[in-house]
Amino acid sequence: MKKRLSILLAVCMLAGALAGCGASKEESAAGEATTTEENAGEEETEAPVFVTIASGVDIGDMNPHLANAAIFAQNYVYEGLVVYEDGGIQPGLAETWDISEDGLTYTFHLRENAMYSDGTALTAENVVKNFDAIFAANLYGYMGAAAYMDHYTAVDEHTFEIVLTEPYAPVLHDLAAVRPFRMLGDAGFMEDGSTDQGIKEIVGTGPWMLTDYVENEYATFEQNPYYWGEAPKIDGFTLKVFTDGQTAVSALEAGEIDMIYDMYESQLMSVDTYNSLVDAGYNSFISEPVLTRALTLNSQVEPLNDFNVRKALILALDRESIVQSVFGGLEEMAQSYYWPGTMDCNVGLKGYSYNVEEANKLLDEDGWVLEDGKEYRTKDGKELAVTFYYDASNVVQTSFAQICQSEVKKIGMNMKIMGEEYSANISRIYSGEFEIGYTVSWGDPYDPHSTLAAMATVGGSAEYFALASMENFDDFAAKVAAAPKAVDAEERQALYKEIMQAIEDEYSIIPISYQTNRAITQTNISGVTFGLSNIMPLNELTVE
Amino acid sequence: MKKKIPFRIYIVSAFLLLVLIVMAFAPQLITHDPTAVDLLNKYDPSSLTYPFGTDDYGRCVFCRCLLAIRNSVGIAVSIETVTVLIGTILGMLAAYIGGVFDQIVNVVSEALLSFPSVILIMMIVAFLGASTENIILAMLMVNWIWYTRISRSLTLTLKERKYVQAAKLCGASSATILLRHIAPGLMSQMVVQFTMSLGSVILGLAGFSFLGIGIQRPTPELGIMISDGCGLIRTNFMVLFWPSLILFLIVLSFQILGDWVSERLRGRA
Amino acid sequence: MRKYIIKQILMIIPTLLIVSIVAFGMIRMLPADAVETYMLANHLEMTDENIAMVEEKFGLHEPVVTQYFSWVSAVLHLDFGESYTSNQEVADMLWKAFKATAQLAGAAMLWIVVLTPVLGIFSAKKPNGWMDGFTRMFCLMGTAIPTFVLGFFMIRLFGVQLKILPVSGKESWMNYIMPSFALSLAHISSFVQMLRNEMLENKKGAFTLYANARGIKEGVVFRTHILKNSMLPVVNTVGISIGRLIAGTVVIENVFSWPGLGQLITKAILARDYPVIQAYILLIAIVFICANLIADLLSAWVDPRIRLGEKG
Repeated sequence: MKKRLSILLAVCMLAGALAGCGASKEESAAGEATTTEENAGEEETEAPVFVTIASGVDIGDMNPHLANAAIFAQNYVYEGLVVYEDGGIQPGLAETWDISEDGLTYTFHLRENAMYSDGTALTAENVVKNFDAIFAANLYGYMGAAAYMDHYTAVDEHTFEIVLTEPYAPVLHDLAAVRPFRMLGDAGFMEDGSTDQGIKEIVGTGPWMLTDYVENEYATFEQNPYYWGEAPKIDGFTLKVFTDGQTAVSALEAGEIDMIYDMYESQLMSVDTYNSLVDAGYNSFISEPVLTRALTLNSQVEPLNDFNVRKALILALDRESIVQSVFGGLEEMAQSYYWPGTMDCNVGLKGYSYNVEEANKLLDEDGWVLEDGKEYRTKDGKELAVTFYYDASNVVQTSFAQICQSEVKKIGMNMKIMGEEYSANISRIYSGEFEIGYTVSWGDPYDPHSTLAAMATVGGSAEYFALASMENFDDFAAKVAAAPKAVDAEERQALYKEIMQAIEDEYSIIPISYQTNRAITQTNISGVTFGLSNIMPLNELTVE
Repeated sequence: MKKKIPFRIYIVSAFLLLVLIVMAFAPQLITHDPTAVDLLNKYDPSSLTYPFGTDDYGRCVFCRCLLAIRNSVGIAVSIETVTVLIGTILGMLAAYIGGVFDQIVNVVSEALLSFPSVILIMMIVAFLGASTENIILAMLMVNWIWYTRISRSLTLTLKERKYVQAAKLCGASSATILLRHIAPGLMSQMVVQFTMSLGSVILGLAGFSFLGIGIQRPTPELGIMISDGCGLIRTNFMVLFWPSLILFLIVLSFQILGDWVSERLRGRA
Repeated sequence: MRKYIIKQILMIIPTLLIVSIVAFGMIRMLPADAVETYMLANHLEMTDENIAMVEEKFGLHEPVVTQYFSWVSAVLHLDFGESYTSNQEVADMLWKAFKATAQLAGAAMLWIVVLTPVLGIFSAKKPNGWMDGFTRMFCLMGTAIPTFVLGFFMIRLFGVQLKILPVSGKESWMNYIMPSFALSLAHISSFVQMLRNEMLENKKGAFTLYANARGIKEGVVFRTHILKNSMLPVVNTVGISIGRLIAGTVVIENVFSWPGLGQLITKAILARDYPVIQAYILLIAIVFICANLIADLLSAWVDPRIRLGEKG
């Protein structure tokens, strides 16, 4: 018996040791890339420069036409005909383009030197193949331009043409989006030319290519040797997945990672953490506003269907202070739903004010009485109560919920807050089963036309439920549909002004702040740039 | 020869008594509204008005801790009491009645035990929606199984004891036997289990709060205060420190107490 | 011995059956519709035709019983379907995650197997001595700290302040030290207490008395009789804890960004990813059952009393 016991002990210890060793053997080829030798046939006299970056999400399935991957990851590998940069549409794979006078035909002249990472050239036939696959997947009702495309052809090897059914000004914006209109090399398509069931190879024309990937652990990208544009300043980078923001910060402090870059899809640093890292001496970078954070009031449910209740709620929120203390100066308060820097949105709206007295007056006049000894107002026996369901895993939402609850007590309103998990919360908001919900605009290049289109469609977005109570909703919807088609810039601007004013007058969407993307790096890193809300451009990143 | 009560038991008992007092009088003891958000007062250091300072919403940490003690311990004790009662009774009945009933109870509890309780609870909460009531309900639904098992195997042993056999021969009714002979035999063991598991229930609640499915904010509860505080571990450590310390001391006290009780019982047997 | 094994194995089947029905049924009752989940994850518009297409893709329009049997038959072919959110093969996802968690659990077992006897001996050699007191305090404290707090503290101390252990990744054996220790601490604490109690019991036992009477040296008595006998119930419990270790990694994996089963199931539950949840339930049940079975068999093998007891 004692022999068996000893054997047992020995086996256990051996098994445990093997488990540990087995792991290190498997993974030893992986992550620590800063001293790896390049084997892509480059001749370097110095060691290749790699950077390690923390990411809150895994890159996912790198299919350019589907929605399973992280947008910022798709952006490294795949490019589209045009891009949205520096506040406007810039050439992408199309060097130049012409739009016919009637606004129906878009002719793109493709770059002749654009090549895929496997050495094949970009041709108009390949673009057609991509468009075929995208439309075959039939997943893109929400991309406005897709609905307006009548047909497309390869005019010659480097000329690609799209013909619309009606003029639609934001066509280029939709084509500039990271999905789905990005190009996959021929080698990536399945036998039947489709991509919706998967792709064979990850082949793009972008500055980077994916060279190593372990799901939920890390993804390594290296320079695409065939890239047509200016080569990035570093040779490659690794995205390491972190499930906890604190651990990511600890990794930064331990020197294991070089940068934490927060954007829409990956948010690891709270405001306090960011500020403390700035104080600690790390390099910090912050972007221009990328999208709007808002609270949406569902005007279809009681008591929010009462205009005065909505207005009172909005007047009771000291948004300036809230934004200042939640974001500590990192984000500015939003006066209007769209940041004035967004296309066509510099329309000079007044915005909502902060006036508790007026709010109380409104409620008094509306019949919501605050009886002696009671905390909350009542009317016809019903308490003035609303419920705010928020995503408990989101730090910003958690803050907003707790703060707003406290604020509206000043006007005798009982705001109940309920944290729930992400997908339940999203379902609830999308289906209109909410009273107050946290929403965001979609950012460039979707703002304002795509988000407005969703707002004007029945059930198209949470904001629809806010605006549905509008007196002339059909009128509003018509304007939303007409605006992007207006080819004359002044006419368009005037239409958008009317639209935005109508939204503001409804008092059902509360813009809170303009979200910014932020990055913290080790002191030897510079050249951090920002783009759309959900990308992480690394072309300018430099290591000293 | 009576064994001496170790000194540490006095300390622990005194501490738990203090906890009990706090629980009973918490609402009277607090001077600030524990959920009132005052963003200008964020992260105030310890002072006379704010003995433990303020947290990231400007709320008084001390007041929140007092209420949190009441909530955490109160909830844990309720959950424990209910589950121990249900488990004990069910196990006892199953073992005593035997037959099909026993088989069913046995198979069901085996099947459910072959499953990590954490995951079961997560699924129940996903099913019902995350709220304070639902996490309690989920823990109730899952924790009784363990006690059923113990109570059942204990009852099986007790059933064979001579005095039980004798009582049966005398024609005592089942109810009498259960109540007067078997139940007391179970009591001591179950009390030990109760005290020792209390700590892990409190910790379990804390873990669920960390994962986001526990007690709802802004209710002060030790688990949620700690998990929210972890985000401040670098910047405002004290906000994390106080609830952690309190939780640690409470759980430790229960462990020490339970450990001593079980030792005494073993000594007696 | 053979009869014992066979009987145990046969008991598994009804248990698994119940587990599979519970897994299948419970999830079918979840409020967020499977269809809604899939559509949201894939950005499909909520049109009637899309809904019908998705329903057909997953066979959701068939009666529940039919769905159950098709699922079971697929499972028997080791086909667990595809994830709703990522469209990957569930079997693949589960296997990768299982490997990562098993490695972590294995490392935790190493801590347990090494520290438990060591601490137990420390304790029981001189009961109520200072070593004993220290060990008992250590154990009691080990069960009083929430795992995630322990994890964060270790990261700050060893990773950031002292910089002797890596904070992220899982490339080298050093990455395993912190998460596996945090995972094992609670278990070590309770096992050491159990071992200590057993040893103290055995010290008072009859055969110890005899051995001492026969004049055998104290050290030998301790090793051959007390330690060996005390280890047996502990071995059984440790065996059972394999299952608990594998299942209990949820919090640790979250803190250390460890890509294992804990993360997988948490994400799946939050995203209502039915195929993953169902497969996970089955997998875990099997792991638990196997762990229990192995623990029972090992105890029986090591301790003849259990084996022989069956016949008597």
